[in-house]
Amino acid sequence: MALPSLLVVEDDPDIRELAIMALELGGGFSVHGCGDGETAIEMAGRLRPDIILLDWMLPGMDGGHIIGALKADPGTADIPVVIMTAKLRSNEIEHFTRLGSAGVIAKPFDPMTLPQQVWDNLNRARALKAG
Amino acid sequence: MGWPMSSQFDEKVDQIRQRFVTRTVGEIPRIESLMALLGSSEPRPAIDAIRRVGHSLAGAAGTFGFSELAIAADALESEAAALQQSGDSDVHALRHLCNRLLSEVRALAERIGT
Repeated sequence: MALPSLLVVEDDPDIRELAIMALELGGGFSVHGCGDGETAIEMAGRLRPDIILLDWMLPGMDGGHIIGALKADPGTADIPVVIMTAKLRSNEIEHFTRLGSAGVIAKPFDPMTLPQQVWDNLNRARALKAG
Repeated sequence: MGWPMSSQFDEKVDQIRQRFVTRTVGEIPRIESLMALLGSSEPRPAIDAIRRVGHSLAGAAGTFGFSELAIAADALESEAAALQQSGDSDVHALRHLCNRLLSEVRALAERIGT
């Protein structure tokens, strides 16, 4: 069975590399990464990953615009998007959910537990989709 | 899936952490330039840039286990965001928090040996 694929969108190159390494080694994902919204939308359409891990505050296009673009495209609308953000407040979680995010992971994240958090979100999204 | 026992993983994490510190030290001149712009007649772009620096560093430093730097960066981001919301032009506290952040970066560089 093919490894589940994941797209990490994070502008900090060190954090992106750490996340990719943790998710490949600790989570068994096949991981691609990029650092901006335009590239994320292009890669999501081309690669059709099983799940997207999206940093909320990116230079240029922010997380809300990226989710909007992904949800507006029938080719990417069903891909679960998990938001990574610092400064998490309960009203923000509601906001992200309204936008269509599948879950939220708080930053700073722990590289040892990040893979399980992503798996939990992926399994929940798959369960919801299966009805 | 679980974690393989891998000293290679730990080594790689150390390399990335070291690179983060080097890069953050390299940001000192830019932060100092932004601080200088706080005294200009139009400080809002500098306040926004400082908020982004704080936000980015707070998340990254915390992930790498540099808690003092993460706390200083978080305080900086919060103050910049509060200034943006209120429209207040008193940047005294923000300047102080920039200096605190720079002190933490320099202390980290000394500790890590960059």
